[in-house]
Amino acid sequence: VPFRLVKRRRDGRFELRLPEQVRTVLAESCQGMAAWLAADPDDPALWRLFPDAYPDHPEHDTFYRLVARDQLRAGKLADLELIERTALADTLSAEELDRWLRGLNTVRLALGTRLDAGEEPPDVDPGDPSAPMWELYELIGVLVVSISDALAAELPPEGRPETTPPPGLG
Amino acid sequence: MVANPVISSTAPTEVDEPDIDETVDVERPWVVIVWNDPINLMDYVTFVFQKLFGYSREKATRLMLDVHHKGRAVVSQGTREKAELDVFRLHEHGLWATMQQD
Repeated sequence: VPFRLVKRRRDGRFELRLPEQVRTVLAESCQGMAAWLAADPDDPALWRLFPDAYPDHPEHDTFYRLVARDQLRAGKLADLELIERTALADTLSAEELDRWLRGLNTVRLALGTRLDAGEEPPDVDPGDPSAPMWELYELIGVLVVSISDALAAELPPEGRPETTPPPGLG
Repeated sequence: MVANPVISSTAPTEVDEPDIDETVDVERPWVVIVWNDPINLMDYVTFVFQKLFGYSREKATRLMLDVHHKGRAVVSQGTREKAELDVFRLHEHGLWATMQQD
């Protein structure tokens, strides 16, 4: 059996096989990300978290932002807080793992924007001041892939019939 | 955007123009587009399409590859209300989604 970072247990809960040191780093980066989002949501480095909905319709877009932006920010903050709170937990429910995934992806988007990341990872000198940030970016990337695959395995591969989406806006 | 010389020369009210726009807009469906970006990972994007839209693994993977190779893909469509909700849910998941009329 190949080593897997995310293991689904028979009771439907998930184990994250991460050392405590890594969990602490993740909790700290989520805490830092939450503080950044709370303090300066208009920081251009965060644009990836709040894209335009209507690039062709500035008026529609302004209205979309009025309605959506605070909800998006609150959702992202809640995800980040959940990771902080459960960073050392032995197991996570599928729903918690799903929010871990979103929260980690939020951190990764902000890091990647700040690092101006491309599709291929650059060769970063270990002495480079940005090296630790790149390391964290790569680590979170590995986790995002592992969690995505674990959660996708819970979904029917043939898809499901279209249902009414859960309430989001409004 | 579309000036109506007859209306504006006789009754230059601000109410008439948007009404005309909306009459036209209602006819045309809105499409939701996901754009390629260098940060979101392929497995993540595929999972999000499966989760949000109930697409099969195969269809979700095909759409993800379209985004990756062609730079963008239409992932859903419908009324403006539906499209906006889909864009919102994609934004909740950090995907670069926009909407426009087909």
